[in-house]
Amino acid sequence: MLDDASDPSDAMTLNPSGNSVAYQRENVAKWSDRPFLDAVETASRAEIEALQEKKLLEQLAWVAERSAVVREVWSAAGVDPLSITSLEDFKARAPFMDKDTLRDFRDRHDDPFGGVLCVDRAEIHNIGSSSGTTGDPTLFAERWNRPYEGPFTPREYWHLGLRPGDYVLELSTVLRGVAHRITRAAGAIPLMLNHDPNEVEQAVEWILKYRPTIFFMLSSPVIYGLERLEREKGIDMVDLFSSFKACIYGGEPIGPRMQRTMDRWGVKVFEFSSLGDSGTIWECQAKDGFHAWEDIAIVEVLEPGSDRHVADGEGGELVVTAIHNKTDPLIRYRSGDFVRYTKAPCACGREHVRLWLAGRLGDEVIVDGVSILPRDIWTAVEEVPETAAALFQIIRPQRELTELKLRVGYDGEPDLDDVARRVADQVEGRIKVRPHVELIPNSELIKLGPPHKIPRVAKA
Amino acid sequence: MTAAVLDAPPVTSAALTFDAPDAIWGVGSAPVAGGLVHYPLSNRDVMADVDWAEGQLRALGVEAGSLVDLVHNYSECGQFWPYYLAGMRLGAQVMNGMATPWDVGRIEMYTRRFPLRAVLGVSPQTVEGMAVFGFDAAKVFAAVPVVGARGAAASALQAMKLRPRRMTLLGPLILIAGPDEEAAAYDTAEWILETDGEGRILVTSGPKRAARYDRVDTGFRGQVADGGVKLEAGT
Repeated sequence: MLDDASDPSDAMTLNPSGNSVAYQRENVAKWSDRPFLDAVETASRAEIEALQEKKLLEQLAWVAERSAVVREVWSAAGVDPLSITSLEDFKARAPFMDKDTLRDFRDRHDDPFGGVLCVDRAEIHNIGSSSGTTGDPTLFAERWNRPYEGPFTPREYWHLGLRPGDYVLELSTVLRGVAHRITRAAGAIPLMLNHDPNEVEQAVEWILKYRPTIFFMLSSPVIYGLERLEREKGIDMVDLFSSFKACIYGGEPIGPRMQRTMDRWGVKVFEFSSLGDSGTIWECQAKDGFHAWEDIAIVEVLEPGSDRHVADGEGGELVVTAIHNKTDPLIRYRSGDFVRYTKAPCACGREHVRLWLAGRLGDEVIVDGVSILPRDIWTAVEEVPETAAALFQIIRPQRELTELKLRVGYDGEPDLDDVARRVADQVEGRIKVRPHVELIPNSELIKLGPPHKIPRVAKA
Repeated sequence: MTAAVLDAPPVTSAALTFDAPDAIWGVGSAPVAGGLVHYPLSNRDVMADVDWAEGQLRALGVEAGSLVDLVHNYSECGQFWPYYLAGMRLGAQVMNGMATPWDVGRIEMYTRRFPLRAVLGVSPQTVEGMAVFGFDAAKVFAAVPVVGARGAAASALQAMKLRPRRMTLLGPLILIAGPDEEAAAYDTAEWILETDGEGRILVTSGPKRAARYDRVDTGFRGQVADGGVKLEAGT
């Protein structure tokens, strides 16, 4: 399924799409009329957990020998990775790592990879990174002859309706690798454009010409650009989106007003998000949570600051262990993401764990004892017409504050004092905290971060 | 607005002939005099461009174990993707950054954390972004043996006492000229370049390529001779 090819030369040789010849051949063999690409997608819980345990024990043997940071962290905790006997044993005894662990290791050892690299550097094809909006970017080493180690897999596209020969509109970035490798692995043809709200007019032209099946990806800045185009050029958005079986939305949550806009356009939107730097999680056709592939990672949800697992259906911090990635695996990595989870069967027919996102620990501010996350004020900002694109930031010099300060983007040439007052009224009406509002044009705010998302917290 | 170089969408028989040379790999875009054009690349086109890029990278000293940072935006994948595969074919490791102001932090990070052999594709927006985000471009690139900079970025880096190669996206082609070279070589097996009576450089695709460029004005002026292009300053 995800094994290396039997012919080593085919496994090492990259095709024009940057995937191994063997992997591509294996992928082509899967293409049929079935709704799921890989048989493991519909495995039962018992089958998933048996597979996880097998892969986990193999992974622990692998990292015990090769991952410098795992050796250091586990040694400090007095736990031998090779002494772990089962999934339950792992969940009871394995120590944690987090972003600070990796940064600390990196700085002490002058190791850009933070001690996670498990292969010789000569084996690496690509070194990608996070956008670095919250500090020095996190590195991702990729061996492109190793399928399913990248940010996502062809499974997601297949389930959402992509079939070989289709077109994928890729309004993308060049951050962690390049998305077109996955599109090609799925047998489709990428239409490659920038993820830039100022270039959506070109995307419109390509959509009308090629009528793609998948839109990768929508974001609040891109929707902001499309709304502007609709207003100024009278584009028929319902027709524009009619060929898409799925429009992938990522980067940050969808606000209610933006959801209404996409509903009006008839956009079949499916969200995706990060799985604790060990892949991504995607909504399925049932749109009832984000699936994590549990043959690729072990997902735990713990009470923040503790090692206690929360019950199915409850919320806590997402903790992830990579069990397929042999290149730079993170083991029991505390992601800092708040999630709710269930392992109950999904209406799509799969039993891989589902997650619902609540926010990031690092985004929370406490103002006079009140906990506030970006999503708490999202709707309030959307309700003011001049700031309806919901491009805003919480100014967070530290977690605990005496005053909530917001930087909010606006459109047009409004009376700024009036807009600031109305935004403050809306926010106060919802969270009972009156913010100080700084207004700047949307076009300026977009420049402060990567094109697919606004950094929702800023130190100043 | 863009003009299509491809008359009709390619036949979508990719399911059966995925890795066939003539199967379409993707649709890229290229800046020409009339704006951006979009054009298909076949698997064969990609591999032909990889062959060319491999020679270019080797000439820049890229070899097994080298680290190469490619700076480009997603719409430029058609031009830059062959450089990824060519670097990997040589045994180099490839990283990337975007040619936008906000992404300069990643470019700076790569130069600080790795002994890079080459950073290729530095744009005017990159240099501008370095200043805006508080990085000294001269220091960032000082230890990198090969810096390929586009347009005004090359002049800006030269003013900082650096010796960048001059890189140009000439429509669907990437040109790389050394600091002391007037002309840059191009792949004559794949492209025909010529000038019209007013010195405009026109591009025509070779017969095997999926895209049909037919004397398309690249928006640059200069001279074409002996497999090399000498661009007129300021174009």
